[in-house]
Amino acid sequence: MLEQMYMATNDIRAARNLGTSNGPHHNIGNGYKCDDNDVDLKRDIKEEEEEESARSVDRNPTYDGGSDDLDALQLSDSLFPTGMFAASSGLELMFTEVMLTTAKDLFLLCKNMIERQVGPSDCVALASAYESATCPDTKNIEEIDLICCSMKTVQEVREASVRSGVQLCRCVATFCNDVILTRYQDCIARGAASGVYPISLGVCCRALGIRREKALHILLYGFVAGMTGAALRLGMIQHLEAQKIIHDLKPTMREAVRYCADKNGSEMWQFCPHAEILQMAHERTDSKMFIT
Amino acid sequence: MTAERIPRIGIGGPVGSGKSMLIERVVPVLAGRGYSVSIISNDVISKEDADRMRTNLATRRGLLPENLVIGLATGGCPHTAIREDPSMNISVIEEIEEKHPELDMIIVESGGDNITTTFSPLLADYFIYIIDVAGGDKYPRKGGLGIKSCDLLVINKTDLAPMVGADLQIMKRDALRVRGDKPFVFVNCKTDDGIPEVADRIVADLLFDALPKSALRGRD
Repeated sequence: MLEQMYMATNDIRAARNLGTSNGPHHNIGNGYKCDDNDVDLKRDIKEEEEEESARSVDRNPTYDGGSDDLDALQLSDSLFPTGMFAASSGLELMFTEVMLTTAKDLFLLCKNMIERQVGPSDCVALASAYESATCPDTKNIEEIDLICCSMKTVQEVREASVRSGVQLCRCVATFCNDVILTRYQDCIARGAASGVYPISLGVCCRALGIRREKALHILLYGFVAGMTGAALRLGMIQHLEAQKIIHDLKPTMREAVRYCADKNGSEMWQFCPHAEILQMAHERTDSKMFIT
Repeated sequence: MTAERIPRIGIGGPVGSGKSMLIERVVPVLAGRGYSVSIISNDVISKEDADRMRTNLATRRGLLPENLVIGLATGGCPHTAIREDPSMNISVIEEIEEKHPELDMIIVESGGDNITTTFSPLLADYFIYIIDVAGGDKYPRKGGLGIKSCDLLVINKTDLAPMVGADLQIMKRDALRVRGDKPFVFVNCKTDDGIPEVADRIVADLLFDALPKSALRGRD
């Protein structure tokens, strides 16, 4: 069978050389007569190639090279170096204090935090920074950056977000030359902006040509994946539950993106006082796995 | 972010091999020679190591300011924090470099990990991997990226060898075989045996025998 396949492959290769100067017996236009069988074979091959070409077009009628998908995948991958693998947003304390113990608890926590914190503050900040980077309006990016940073009332959460944002900008700047990104990094260097993660992500996504809605998906997915990843390592949930939680949170994430559609930086808000108090308590914990 | 890069040492090794103890023993030797140091301790689960080093080196002995011993949580992924994604450590180092350009070196202690631990060259300029004889004399022979690729292999707790049936000659032979020309040193952190040699290596191989910055300032 393998031998037959090998022979068939060679036949096709030989057939594809018809009409070229690769061999005298196949060189049709150079004084050599092509027998009828060769002509038929050539026609068959041509038809086969045309059919194959047509099939390829049918399979991917709108394929445009992936558009911004590959860029979005790169930024949302856990391999991307922003240090966020070390954050749990206070989940560690909630779990060790036996306040949250089940997959359902985790789902509800993530849902609440998206609806009352990540969505109305970080997502609105990102969307607004993205628009300002598109204009471009560096001054507005600075303002949104400082508002977003000041709304992170828990020190270790704020510091972790700033560090992740700064490293994100640095990493993207190594392979993407963008004037607004460079300006934003200058703002950070001179203290005019903090580099807080949502703003950095908005600026970097715009620099890479990732659409605003996808940028918001990256932010929200990163939050959910971070929380479920932390829960896995804490032993709170198992790997299949983690994926189900991520899937079940997709409507919440989509709704958060819709919410941002007509909001600007001055409309940021958040209200998760209980979670923030627990995050503050986490800061003072002696024994902990996670930065936040 | 524009501050001058301060030379960095990464110290990695398995849990309980003596990473923190090595730092506690080497820093006084370096400080005695005039070198100023900051320490970042990547904790797997607690701040105990960082707290102990802060107490022993800063509070009690005044060898460095208390705020220059920093504990970092790694989300249960110590190897990730020093290799695949060292961004948190790099952020903290850059903040130190900005505020304390007078430092001669920064020591980054990894959380306890396995023998494949290595440091990103962007994080550490010099990599010390420490194992101890209580893990068995097979350790150097097993190789692993950490043991093979480190700049200096430290084999700690030599005093325990007779008690655990470890043969130091076998460890020496295997270390030579696995590491070729790269150096290794036997130490006993309890008695300081071998500690000056570790300090010598750091000064020679990391700092290229540069004088402490404080001494250079004195000359000016």
